[in-house]
Amino acid sequence: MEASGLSRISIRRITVGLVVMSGLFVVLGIVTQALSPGPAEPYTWTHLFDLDAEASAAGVVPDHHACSAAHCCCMVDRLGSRGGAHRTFMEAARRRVCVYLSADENATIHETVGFWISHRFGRAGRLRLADPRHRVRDRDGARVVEVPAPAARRRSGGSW
Amino acid sequence: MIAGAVYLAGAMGVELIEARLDELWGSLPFSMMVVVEESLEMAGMIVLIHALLSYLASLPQRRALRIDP
Repeated sequence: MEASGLSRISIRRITVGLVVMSGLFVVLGIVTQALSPGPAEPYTWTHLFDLDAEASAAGVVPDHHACSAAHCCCMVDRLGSRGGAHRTFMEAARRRVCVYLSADENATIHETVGFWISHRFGRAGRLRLADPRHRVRDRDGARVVEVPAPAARRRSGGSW
Repeated sequence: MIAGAVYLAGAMGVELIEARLDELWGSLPFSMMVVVEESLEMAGMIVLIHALLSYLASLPQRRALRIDP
């Protein structure tokens, strides 16, 4: 606080501080994953610095960044010059997007959507069939590979 | 725009690659992909915060807040 009563903040210091904090957690995440790859058990050091985990120290950092961005949007809305309905709508939309992203970091919504898109429209999740005559069908929620009977057995009426 | 592009590249782009490499789940390469994804997300948010603060600094000082570049 200054004598004039103004709160002074430096953009450069804030940005450098955020970069240093994020970089520290990224390095710790790489080190812990290199020592113990894959998802970790809760209440362990690996889980604490697992960037992809929920309820971990590293998971709170991007959540905190999104909250800060939402707060900045509120400040822009409050201090910015008043405009038309378009500007008001854009400010409100940007604020809500940041709040959503903050929640998303803990609820992993985008990861679920990304995996669904890839499984639905991409190759991931598809069975790789050795024979192009084989067919995959869904039966009672399970995928079953149907193998056609050989021609000799079909002619003789044999069944599998 | 840059912040949104960086964030989406991390959140959706790398996520789609991860989904294609799901057979590597639990291995070190997959974990490194997760690190890249989360790093891009955090970088996108930092760029957004920087852009918003820069915009705030360009506004006339009306309230008890002064932002130095």
